[in-house]
Amino acid sequence: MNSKVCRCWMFVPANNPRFIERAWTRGADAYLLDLEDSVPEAEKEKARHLVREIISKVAKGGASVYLRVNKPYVEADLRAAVWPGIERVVLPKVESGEELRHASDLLTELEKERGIPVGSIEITPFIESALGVANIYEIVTSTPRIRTMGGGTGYDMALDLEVEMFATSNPYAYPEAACALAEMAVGVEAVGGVFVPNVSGRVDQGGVAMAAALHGTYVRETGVLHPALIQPLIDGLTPTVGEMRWARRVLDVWEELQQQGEAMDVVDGKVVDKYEYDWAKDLLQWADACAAKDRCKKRAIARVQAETPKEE
Amino acid sequence: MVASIALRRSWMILPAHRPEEAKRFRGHQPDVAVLDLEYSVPPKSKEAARANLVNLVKRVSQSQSQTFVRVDRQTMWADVRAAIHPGMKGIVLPGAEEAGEVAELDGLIGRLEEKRGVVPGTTELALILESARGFWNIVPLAEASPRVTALGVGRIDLTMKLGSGVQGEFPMYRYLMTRTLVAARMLQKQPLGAFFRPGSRGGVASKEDTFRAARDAGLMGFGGCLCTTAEQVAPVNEGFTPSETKP
Repeated sequence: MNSKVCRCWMFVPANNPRFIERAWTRGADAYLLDLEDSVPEAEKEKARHLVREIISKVAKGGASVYLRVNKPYVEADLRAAVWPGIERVVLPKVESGEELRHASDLLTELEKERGIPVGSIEITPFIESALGVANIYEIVTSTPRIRTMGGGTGYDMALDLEVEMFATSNPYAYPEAACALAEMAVGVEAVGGVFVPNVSGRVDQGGVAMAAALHGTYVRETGVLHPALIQPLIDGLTPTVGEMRWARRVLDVWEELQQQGEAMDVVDGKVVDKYEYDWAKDLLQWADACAAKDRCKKRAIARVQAETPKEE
Repeated sequence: MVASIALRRSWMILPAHRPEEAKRFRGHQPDVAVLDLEYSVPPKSKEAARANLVNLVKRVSQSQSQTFVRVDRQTMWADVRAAIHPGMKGIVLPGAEEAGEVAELDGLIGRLEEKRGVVPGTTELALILESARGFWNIVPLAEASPRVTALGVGRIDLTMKLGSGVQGEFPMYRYLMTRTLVAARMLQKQPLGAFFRPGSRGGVASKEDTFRAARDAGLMGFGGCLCTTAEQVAPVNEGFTPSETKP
């Protein structure tokens, strides 16, 4: 399991001071400073040089800070924007392992130059084309910096495949599952990009639907564009009190079974066995990690509030 | 060979440490009786189960059902040593991940066949996949030994933590079944698996849900699946039997 909990990160365009100033109050586990699709071409140069200043602003609430770069300007973006505080670099539209090795080498150089522990910056590749799906295994095994990975879905994927992204059948069924399988096969965590119909007309309801679809699955991380989606996703990807209670019971029952030399029992009409034991152990670890992340955010926000003079 | 494989719809699991329970299969008439040394046998009874096997194989192989033995990947060598006897058709191996382990197993089976008077090369292997690594390597796994005659989808909702997902299907499940089907057809193996849905798997699946899972898998091209309980045998046989009228 990826030890760094990030149930939900939010995109923040790096060239937009209005979004940046208030971003830390939104409650996401991480903010992704975007140099790619949310920054117009004419602003790219300016945006990449703003990142260094922005990092501490968006991290104020205890959130992690990620950076998304442009595929055609990887080198310029990384050189201008990788500074202490950037935990991850998101590489979009990845199609080969070669691109990743190049980015990784560049990161090593910048880490050495800028006092960042070498190898500490993660890379999260996104697969957004047919070629990327075809090369998935070579991509996911290209560098140990990859702990999380996303793709096989989304707007660009639909464009590349020339499919309708809101079709009634899931147009991403194959590319998404093929990417997820390769990721799981090498122990990389999948970033979820589930698309579920939201007919409510309310943005936060979209988050609730997404969270319901992802709850209890192998996906424990999502990225969103709109702040109203953050809290529903954080809540939805965190284990519930009921689940935790049952998981603790499973561990107790399993302990007894082990002592008796038994392999399986039925408790309250539910099976307890080695599969359920693995599930319970994993769920409780994840719940602890989520709670630690929440405490860290809470403390950071309290600190900021204590330092801010009251407007009276 | 192909004709008999086509008739392997229900693979009924029988705990090998309980001879009295192992007798029960006759009433259910599964196509395959799987004498289990894995999941259904608690650790304290493993030794007894292995010791029991030679008699069980003798008894079961006189019935209508074909006899397989399911081994535990953690104790594979000891289990396989206990399993190879005349009358035993093949080994069910759950959880294989690398071609190397299948090739090693092939070698061990070969040595035991010689010792125990089994015709060399006749012991089959049914690989039941349970992990992402296994599904990723499905083709090399199937090609690792000529003994492999079946490729199956295991309890991946649990082992791969698929969750319950949207639209009434486990996420990835359809893809993993299709991946298994493609590999099986390409390499001429029997595809095993049922299209189970969230809330209706394993020992808790009702007869109706089991029938539906078997029928849906049958329509997808699958030939049979493992049955965790005796009650699943009849709906599995029915579900995998082609009907005169299309649904």
